[in-house]
Amino acid sequence: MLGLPEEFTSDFLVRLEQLRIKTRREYAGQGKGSHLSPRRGSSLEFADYRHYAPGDDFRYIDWSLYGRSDKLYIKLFKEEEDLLTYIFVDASASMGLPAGDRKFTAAVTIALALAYVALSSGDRVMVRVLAGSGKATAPTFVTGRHRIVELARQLAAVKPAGPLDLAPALAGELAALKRAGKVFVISDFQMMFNSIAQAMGMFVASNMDATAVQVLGGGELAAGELEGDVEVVDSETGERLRVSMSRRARDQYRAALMRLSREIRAMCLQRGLRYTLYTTERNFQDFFIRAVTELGLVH
Amino acid sequence: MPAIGFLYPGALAFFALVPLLLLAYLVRERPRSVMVSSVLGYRALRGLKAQRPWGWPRLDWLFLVELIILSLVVIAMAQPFVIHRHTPVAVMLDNSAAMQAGTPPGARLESAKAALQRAIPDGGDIAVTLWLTAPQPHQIAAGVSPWRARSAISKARTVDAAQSTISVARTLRDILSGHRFTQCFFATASPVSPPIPAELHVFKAGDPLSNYAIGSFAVGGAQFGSGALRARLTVANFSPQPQTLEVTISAEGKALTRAQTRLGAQEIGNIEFPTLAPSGVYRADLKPADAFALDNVAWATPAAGAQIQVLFVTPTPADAAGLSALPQLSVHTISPENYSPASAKADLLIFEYGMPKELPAANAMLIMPPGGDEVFGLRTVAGATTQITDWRTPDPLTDGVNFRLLALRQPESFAVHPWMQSVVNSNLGSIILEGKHEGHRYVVLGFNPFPYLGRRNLPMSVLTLNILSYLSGFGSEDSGHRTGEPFIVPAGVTQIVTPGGSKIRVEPGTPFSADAEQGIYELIGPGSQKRLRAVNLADLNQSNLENPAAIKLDIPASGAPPPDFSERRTFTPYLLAAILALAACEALFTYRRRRVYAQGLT
Repeated sequence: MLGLPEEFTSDFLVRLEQLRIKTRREYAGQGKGSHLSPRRGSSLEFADYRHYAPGDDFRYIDWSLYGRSDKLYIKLFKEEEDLLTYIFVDASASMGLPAGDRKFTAAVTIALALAYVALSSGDRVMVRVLAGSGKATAPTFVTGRHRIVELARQLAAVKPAGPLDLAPALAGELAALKRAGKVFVISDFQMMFNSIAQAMGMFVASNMDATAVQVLGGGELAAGELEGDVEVVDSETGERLRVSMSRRARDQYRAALMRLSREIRAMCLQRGLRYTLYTTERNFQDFFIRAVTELGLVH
Repeated sequence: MPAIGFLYPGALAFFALVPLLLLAYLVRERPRSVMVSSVLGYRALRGLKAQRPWGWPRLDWLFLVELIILSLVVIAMAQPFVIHRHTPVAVMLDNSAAMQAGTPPGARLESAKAALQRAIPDGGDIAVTLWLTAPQPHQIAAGVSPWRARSAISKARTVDAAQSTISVARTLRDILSGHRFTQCFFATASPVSPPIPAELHVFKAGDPLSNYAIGSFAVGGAQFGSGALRARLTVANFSPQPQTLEVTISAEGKALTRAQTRLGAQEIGNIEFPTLAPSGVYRADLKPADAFALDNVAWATPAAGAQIQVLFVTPTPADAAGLSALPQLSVHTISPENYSPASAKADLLIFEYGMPKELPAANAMLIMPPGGDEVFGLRTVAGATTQITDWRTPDPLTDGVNFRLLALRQPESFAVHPWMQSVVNSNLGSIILEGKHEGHRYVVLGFNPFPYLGRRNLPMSVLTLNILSYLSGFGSEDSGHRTGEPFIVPAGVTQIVTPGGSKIRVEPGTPFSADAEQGIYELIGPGSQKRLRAVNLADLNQSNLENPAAIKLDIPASGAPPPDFSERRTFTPYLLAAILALAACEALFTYRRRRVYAQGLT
């Protein structure tokens, strides 16, 4: 449908429109929106008082306070602005493997879903692809739900390829960003834990509210297609390992991956970040609706 | 290169496992290469099957280590051994005094050394055992390499002592009949009587030589009371022509007297010097000179030139009264209960009516000892009357004694003694016994000659003086001590200084065998009291270089096959140690690699 993933049914889109992104702190936007901003404005959310000054709008004088204190005070309200939402999609070679798991497709679907939630809430969305081949997405914000088609087209042109060193790549992206906001990082995180911790730490240092979305393939977790002596080749580094796969070995391998996921989750929670894991054998719509809280969304 | 054998060669069939191992590697399904998103999770699997010791073979160095381990195990199962060819060789060098002969001096020894050094075969399996023949055959190196044997031979020196042909023959018999050696090389100046076994290779060192020699050289007094000394020499002419020999006696570097005698070919004669001026040490030199200088010189110390210390052990001290009147005799009287062997520091001991508890370490006279003792084993013979029936003559004890006038008071007789000879016999047994034991003279009397009455009882006095002279060494024809023959260290002597100046601590009563050097030995007692003792070659058999005594082997012919001296030395323990070490290395490396990969996950 209009180049959107097949999971984006009408019902699913309706459910996405009922969601909005929730942040743990207030960020200044670039225009009117539905998110409270640290700026003073005209929303119904009371912020503070200040002494009346000539020229102030009489409508904001707090007359009850004048009656008690015989002094004129002006009520200040918070501004409601749009939210700057950044979505980083890992398009390194590891996202394309195993091919049957369609990890990158799942990552794109998650990114589009998140982008649709933001766009339908009136927020600004910037989608950035890390590594990969094809035409790079422009580092510009898009607004308006109709722009989701444009984003879907851009992401469809990207193929997973090449290596990705997450921390330096994100450092480069962050340097180009002018304002803080909500960040989603969608990756399989098949890399050294130190690199992940360093990358996620940069969001904390940049006052970003980040959510790590790990995408793992169902076949990848099961290593089902590997049996007996196998030489596994790392898709990004080219490192080769000879292993002898058995049921016990597969169990150990799965345990190793899950241990890495648990460590990433623990690290994120410790730093006030959000984390969720999506495995591709799951139903996407079901996952997305159930993981609303973990993703940092609210109805 | 030692040969290698296997105790169980059949076990080598297990070597088929080695190519099987290789085959298993070669024919196994090659691991297919699969591109994965990341090998991060697979690192935890390293060390499972492919990395375990004895796991599926991988062509890296661990596989080679396992291949080596398997090979070593198979070899160890076959129980390998090295056949160590062992060729024991016996070498005997004659280092007796006769080997000093030759022109230049010692040429015989040098030719013998050269012959042996040439004869010793070379090779890593040769083990040489080396003997010297004098003073007694003795081993100086056992199982050494040819190089060390040659070195030991080059360091061998002659001694001034003769070799015992009997002892040498016995040693050679032991060497040849014991099947302990493949060959025996013997270099000697003495001929070896045929038949000579095939294993024995004799190298004759030197040709027959004409030689003039001094045999014995003794200096002593004639009797108590005479200050003059007399000397007696035995000289020999071992040459094919008659020869006039001249002997010069000197003392303290000054010639005292000289005498000549003409001896026929192969003739032995005596030269006497009846009056010699008293001196501590005498040296005799023989002329003309010859190719064997050692036996042209002899040394002597007067046998009884000094004061003689007599310890008279008696319950009746009055019996010793007359002895003190004799010149050169110093008598000390003690009661039997005060006697102890350790305190008996005297040249001559007299036991009256008693018996020491052990054999005295000095010349001794026993007067009417109690019979049935355990020290001498004397047995008295009871009888009503005892009469002298006969006596030994000529004999230094009976010389000049008128036995018809000899009146004995209550004599007793002794039965036949195991090692003492009867000098005067009675109708019941022996009245006077004489014997030598461990270098000491003992006389046993069945009557009491004391007190010494001098001219008032001349027959008894003559007999008493004869006995005292004999026990004191007077009138002895003994040529003194010979090189290489051990002598008992006299009582009180704690140190002996050899002619070469070596000082040797000694124990009284023990044999002293370091006397292979000709010359004067100083026997030093307490308070630096010094006694001199002359030690000479005094062996005319050794000096007879024209017809030396032959060595008779008398080895019975043996039909036994030559013994196999090869030795099997297993080295399985070394293989097992190598297997364990390699296995430990592999296990350690695998463990470390697993740890590195496991740490890499985080």
